[in-house]
Amino acid sequence: MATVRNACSAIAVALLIAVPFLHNGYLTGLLVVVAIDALAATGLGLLVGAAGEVSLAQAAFMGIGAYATALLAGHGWNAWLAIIGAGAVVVALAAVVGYPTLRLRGHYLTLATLGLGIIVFVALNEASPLTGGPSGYGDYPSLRIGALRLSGDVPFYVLAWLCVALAVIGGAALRASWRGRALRAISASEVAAASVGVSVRARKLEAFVLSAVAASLAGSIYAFYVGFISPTSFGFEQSVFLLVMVVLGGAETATGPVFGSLLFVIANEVLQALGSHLFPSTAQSAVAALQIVAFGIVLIVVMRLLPRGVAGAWLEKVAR
Amino acid sequence: MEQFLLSGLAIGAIYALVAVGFVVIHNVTGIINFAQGEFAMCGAMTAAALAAAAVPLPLALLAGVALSALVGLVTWYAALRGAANSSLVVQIIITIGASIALRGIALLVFGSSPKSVPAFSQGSALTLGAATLAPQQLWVLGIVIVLMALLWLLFERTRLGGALLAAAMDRQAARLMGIDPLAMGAFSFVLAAALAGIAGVTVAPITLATYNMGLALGLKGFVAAILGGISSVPGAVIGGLLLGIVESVGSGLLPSGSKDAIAFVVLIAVLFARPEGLFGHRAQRV
Amino acid sequence: MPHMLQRAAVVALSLAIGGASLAAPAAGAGGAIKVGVDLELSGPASVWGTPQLRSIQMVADDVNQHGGIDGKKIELVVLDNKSDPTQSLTNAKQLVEQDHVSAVIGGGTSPTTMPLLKYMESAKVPLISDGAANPIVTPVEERHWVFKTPHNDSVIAEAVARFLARKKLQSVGFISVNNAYGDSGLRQFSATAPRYGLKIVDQEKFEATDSDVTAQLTKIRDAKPQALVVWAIPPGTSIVAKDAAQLSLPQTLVFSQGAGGNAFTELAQKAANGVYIVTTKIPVASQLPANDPQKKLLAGYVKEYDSRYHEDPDAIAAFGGDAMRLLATAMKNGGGDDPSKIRDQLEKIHNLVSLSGIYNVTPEDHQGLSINDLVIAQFRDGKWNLVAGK
Repeated sequence: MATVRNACSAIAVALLIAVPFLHNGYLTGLLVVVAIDALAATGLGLLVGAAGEVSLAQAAFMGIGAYATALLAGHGWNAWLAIIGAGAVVVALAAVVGYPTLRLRGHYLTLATLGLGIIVFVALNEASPLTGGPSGYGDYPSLRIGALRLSGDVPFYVLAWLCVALAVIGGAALRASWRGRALRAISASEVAAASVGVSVRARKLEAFVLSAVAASLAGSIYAFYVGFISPTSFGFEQSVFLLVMVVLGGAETATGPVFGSLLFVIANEVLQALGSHLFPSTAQSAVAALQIVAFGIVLIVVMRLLPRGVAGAWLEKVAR
Repeated sequence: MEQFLLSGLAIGAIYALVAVGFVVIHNVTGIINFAQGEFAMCGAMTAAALAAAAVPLPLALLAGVALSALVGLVTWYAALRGAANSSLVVQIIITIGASIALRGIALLVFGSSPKSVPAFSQGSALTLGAATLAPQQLWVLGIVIVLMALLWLLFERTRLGGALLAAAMDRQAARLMGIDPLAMGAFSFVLAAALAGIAGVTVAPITLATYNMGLALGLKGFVAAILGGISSVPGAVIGGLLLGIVESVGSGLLPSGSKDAIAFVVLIAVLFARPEGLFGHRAQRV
Repeated sequence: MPHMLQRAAVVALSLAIGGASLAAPAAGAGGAIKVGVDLELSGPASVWGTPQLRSIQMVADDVNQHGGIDGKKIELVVLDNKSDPTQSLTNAKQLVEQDHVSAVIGGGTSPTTMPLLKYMESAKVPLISDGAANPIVTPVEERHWVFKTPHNDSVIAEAVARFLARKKLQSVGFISVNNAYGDSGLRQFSATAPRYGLKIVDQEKFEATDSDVTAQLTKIRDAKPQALVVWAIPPGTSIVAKDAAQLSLPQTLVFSQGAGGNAFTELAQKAANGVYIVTTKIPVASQLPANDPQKKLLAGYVKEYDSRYHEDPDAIAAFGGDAMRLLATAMKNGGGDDPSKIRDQLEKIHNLVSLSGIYNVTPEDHQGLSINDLVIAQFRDGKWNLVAGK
């Protein structure tokens, strides 16, 4: 199993390195979006896979990261410092939200993150004088390295995938460390883990904050790449999609969510391209609706094929 | 202030119907059903389409509710029957997949423009002191009261209802008593979808029916169910009414754009004080 | 299973790379001119996106039936942006780089248009947006390649303010839907109102998904303005009208043009009697005086739309058709299928009689309509009635 996984990863890395040399703006740009999603999904994967908690606010953390970065940069901060500043804001928020919620048994983190996501969305919409409200915000400078302005697909391709690589390596290292073992123990049984001396609350809080930081970084990159942000990109639906990417690719490994993001975004694009070219323009409204139906059905089918969840299927395989 | 309370009560009754459906499904099958709002939408859109085709209103409404119930049944069989043992994440994604598929079908069949459903009765608004209530809002309140009474009868006085309650309390024990949990699961989905369908056709004359109206309805119903305690049917009703009133009073007193946030702030506050909701039993570890 | 999905992901990546590299040829089969369309066919804004696509399709078909562009047919390449800004950007890239379109029509609203601006400027392909907000085409120095067909919200706000001032009303309330459309209207009207001696005494918002706005309307009623401006889209506009009637609000209601056609009139019905709307001429096309330059075109458009789609067209759908007409005109005038020439020709469009008005596009004005293309209509007995004067 490990060899197959490593082979997949090697092929994927080789392909990813090759892409910028193809000089195809569409493909490169698409994979920038994949990388941004993959970064947030990797963070979420740590929380879901290692700690066993479901967050429905990952996109909200992306949004806070994006807006904090854009606002700081728009008010004179150095762009890179703005990214770090945004990360700090998100760490603080995640700590404040996670600390009281994670002490409760049951799915209260999930509910609290559901509420957090909505509250963040409303806050971004309402703080109109500052954030531009529903009309969005674009008044901030670009990312620079020295005097060189980062623009276009290739620089962000490199930046985003580098960050993904760092996140994956970091995640793998964490999972292999004593922290990772503690998280897995907690995920299996909190009571048992606590009884052998694991600091349940501390470990879960760490995982939650780390996953939020990954989301914040993803949001910051998004803000500079697109050059314009609005609250609709960071709502509940996007949080759900990130969750799907995690579960699709496999939450218990560090690389799983990356594969999930690749599959999710590329499958969507392929479907769009097919729909647009195979059917006449008069049928496109129906095609759009059919794609939505197909997406819903695929979600159901894929999840049903793994009725005991990804971890369950994996354990089954390994046990044989 | 009376206006805020009255309007809040009317919309709260709709949330209550959706919330009760949530609770019924969750109690019997353990599933959190994110497609609940779409059940309501199916009923509303069907009734609207039939009404536009000159079908008499009562028939159109009944057909809408019946279709919702059918959709609930199909969703159970196609998507969720084996999923009760899956992890929360998988369940969430399956029900969200169902809600997306239903939305797509509605978009395909009905298109994206809002459709109207005639109000159940014509007439001008009723004035109660300083507040007014539209006739349709009175219908909403009346229907919810009648339904709650019928539900009580169902659970307390019929065998089927008793079996449902038994399955909700302890699936294994119920099975030992000859109650088939899968049949109860199917029935819970049919019941919840029918309730949602009634909510949908009743609120459509007020809001117009759109193919994505289920999103907001489902979310609000879910919040109401959690507020009341996800294991309690009366709790869901109270939760729904409370949510409606809090929202209405909130938009009356605070800047009106923050209304959605108010509901969730209240939810989180209640959860911290009382994690099992206002009327729930101590939460079991799922 | 997990590794199977990972294998699938790698396959998908390879397919994407392969598919993208085998891009479609620059010219369409048989020498067609490709126009990309990036619209909201699903999601919250689809109530506008689908009608806009129909309108574009109608105009394109009309052009093709009358000989096309120097014999070449217009071919539409349509992608759904799902009302999502990121998807809109990806779509634009697919249209420009994979399909090699000569121009792009889209997004259908402002949030899906703004992310495209930087890209279209660097890709040097013309973009005609159906979004309403001013920042789409300003500042002009940064918008060489971007045009839009709807009136700027500032102009609509001006028309509303002018109408209210003419009716000698001074204090107004303002209620808007809590999205980019309502937000833009709020900003523009707040800026314009003082210039016409109007004072906004209370300002409220409601969510697009709200079913009840009596709370907000009660607050407005308590502030006692003389009129209420409503800046929203269906179904919210109908709910405002109905609730206002339910509360017996004494204020005159004035709607921005987003109020909607059938969706508004069907639901609001009697409740909407007496309300005003600032709109392009489409909802009142049959009542236009005989010497109105748009009358003939609009009559044909309404009839065709009705027979094809069995409902009356509303003002918003027409923006799509206008975008297509602008492109077709630019192409016929020497633009052909060359993006750069099309762009230059767009800026020279003069007195083009179209659906939403008469377009005069210049290098400084990439929108092209004036306040004179707007009319005031009042709702009475099931339909909009043109109000004389402005």
